[in-house]
Amino acid sequence: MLSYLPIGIFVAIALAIVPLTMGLGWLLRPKRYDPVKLEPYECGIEVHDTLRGKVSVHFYLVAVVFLVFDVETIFLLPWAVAFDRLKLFGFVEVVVFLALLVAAYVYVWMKGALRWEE
Amino acid sequence: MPVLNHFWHLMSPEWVLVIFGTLFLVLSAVPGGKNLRVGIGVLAVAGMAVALALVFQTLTALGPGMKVPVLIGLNGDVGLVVDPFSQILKVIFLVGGVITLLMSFKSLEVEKAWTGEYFTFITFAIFGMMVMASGNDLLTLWVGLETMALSVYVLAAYLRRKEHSVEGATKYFLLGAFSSGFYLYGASLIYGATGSVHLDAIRASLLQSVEQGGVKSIGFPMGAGLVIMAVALLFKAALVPFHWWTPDAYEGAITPVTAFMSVAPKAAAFAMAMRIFVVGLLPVSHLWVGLLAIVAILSMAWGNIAAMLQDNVKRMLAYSSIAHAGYALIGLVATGATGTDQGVRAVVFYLLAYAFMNLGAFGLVIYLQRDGSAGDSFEDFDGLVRRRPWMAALMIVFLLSLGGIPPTAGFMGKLLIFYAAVTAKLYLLAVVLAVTSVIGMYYYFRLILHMFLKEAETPAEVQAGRPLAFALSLCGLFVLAIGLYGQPFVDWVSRAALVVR
Amino acid sequence: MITIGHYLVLASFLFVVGLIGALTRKSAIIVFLAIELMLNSVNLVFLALGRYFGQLDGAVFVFFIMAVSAAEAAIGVAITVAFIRRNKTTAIDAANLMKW
Repeated sequence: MLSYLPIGIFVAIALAIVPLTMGLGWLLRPKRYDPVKLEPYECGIEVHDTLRGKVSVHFYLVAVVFLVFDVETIFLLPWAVAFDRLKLFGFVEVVVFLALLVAAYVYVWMKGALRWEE
Repeated sequence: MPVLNHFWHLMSPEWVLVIFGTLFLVLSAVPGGKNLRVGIGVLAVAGMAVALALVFQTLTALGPGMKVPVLIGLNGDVGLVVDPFSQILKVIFLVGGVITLLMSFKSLEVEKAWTGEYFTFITFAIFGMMVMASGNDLLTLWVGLETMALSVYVLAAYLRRKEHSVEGATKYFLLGAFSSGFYLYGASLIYGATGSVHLDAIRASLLQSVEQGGVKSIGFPMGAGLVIMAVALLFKAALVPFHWWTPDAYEGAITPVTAFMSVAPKAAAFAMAMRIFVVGLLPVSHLWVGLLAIVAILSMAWGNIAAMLQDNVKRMLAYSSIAHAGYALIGLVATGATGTDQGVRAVVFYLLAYAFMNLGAFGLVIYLQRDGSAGDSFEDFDGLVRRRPWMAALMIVFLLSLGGIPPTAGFMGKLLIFYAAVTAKLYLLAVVLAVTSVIGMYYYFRLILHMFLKEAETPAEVQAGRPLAFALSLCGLFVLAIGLYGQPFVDWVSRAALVVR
Repeated sequence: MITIGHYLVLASFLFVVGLIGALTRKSAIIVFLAIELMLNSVNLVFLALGRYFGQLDGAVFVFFIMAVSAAEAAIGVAITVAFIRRNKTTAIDAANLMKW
């Protein structure tokens, strides 16, 4: 048990150092607050908006469209693995599937959901 | 070795709906005026009529008790089947869809909300339901369920500028996704317990364990999976205590969608529940009969009591639809208790009768709809008998039918359910059915009294329009025909059979 | 040695975490995330069981769960955006127009 004592001391010191140094810093440092000091990036790009500002609803639209098309292509994978055994039937199935996706794509396109500028 | 196969001609109604739905989707993006949208609506009615004819064609070709595998995998597993049960339910969905579409024309006109997407989603929703009626494994059934549910979520939020519509749809969607998770977890437990997701294999596995070790040998995962899955199905059929979304989603949605939601998705949820419980899980019926019996009693009691307290006709009909789902559930319990098809037939007949009477009752709300009002308050019905005697007469027929008074379809439906319950010696359920039906009369008669005794202060000008008038007459005709001359309908429905020997 | 039991326990733990999250959180988006966690725990069960039984059924189920939940997410985001536009908040407590 006693052989673990050095480790215990080490852990105790390690735990103590963090509050100690932070506390010392808080005590010793000069406290002068001005707008430049309070900026998120004191010496970086100037902030021009808040984080919780409004985002164009268009982002959601594109995200939703992307999400669906991205995930639906998962069904091509099983066909690609087994297309030799599925023969013509599998091919027809995949063509029908892709035709449905294309129809949805045409819909999205014609609705103007992919257009950025008005 | 069985080959991968696909009987296209038996699935022709589904294909018709997919082709039409995709066509509507593309058409609805075409810039154009109202006429184009109305054209899509007319085309949607035509498409469903074609699908209906094709369903009838396969139905006549099927012998009694026949079950044709439609989609067969490389290892011989059957994904979809076509049998009289599935085809009769498809008839109910499609008839519900056609009547809904006919009733939609007026509502869309009043709300100035013509879009092609509306018809697309109704078409795809019905396609999903048809898969739910035909599915033969837990996965196919679930994909059908989600196809339907996702379409109906969007339809519930259709009036997206109205607070009630969005709020109802949000609740419906969150609870619906939640119940979907339940269904899948239940399915995974059943898969773990039986080693298959195919209903036939699940039944075989359960039969084997029951024969070898008795009912005691059914382990905890199976029981838990069954209960968790049942929760999801009861949610979709809007039964107490899983009904909380129902009144809000029904009140918020545009009225034809409410009518649709109360009839077709409910029937589809029952179809799926019957398919799973009767085909797959009948060997362990002792695990679910009691559970469903309690749910049926709660639904009948709470549905009727809460409906009495409503001030809004759509909400009242929403609670009444919960009570009616409770009545129908008795049939499923009866099949579980006896192992015969009688209960299943009673449920199917009830769903058929309920489709006509409930669509009709909501149709009258649509009839009273006008610019700035949904026509869903009791006051809107004041003095209707004197203002519009024919419409009032139709509404009285629908309400008497919902109340279960002869000579209407609702009476015949309740009679069959009652008979199934008594045959299965479920006397408590039969008594609760009778008592709560009497309670239910109260709020239906309250509406009838409004039509007779009250006088409208400033009667609103309302128009029916030809499609709505036609749909209402159709509903009224069938409600009376089934009630007065029910035998052909009973014979027709009695072809539906699920119990496998 | 990791057995089928470990997977099932982990999955049921995840499912319960999702369940509690869906029942207790206030933001509609977080509720939806919790529901997705429930679905993913089911994915884990199906994959583990499919491998245990030596069948493809489990993996096929997972394919469909992933694809359908993507579609569900798309519709969920659309409805939630409509909800936020009306109520200016994601808190589901704002859905208080209609009560039982």
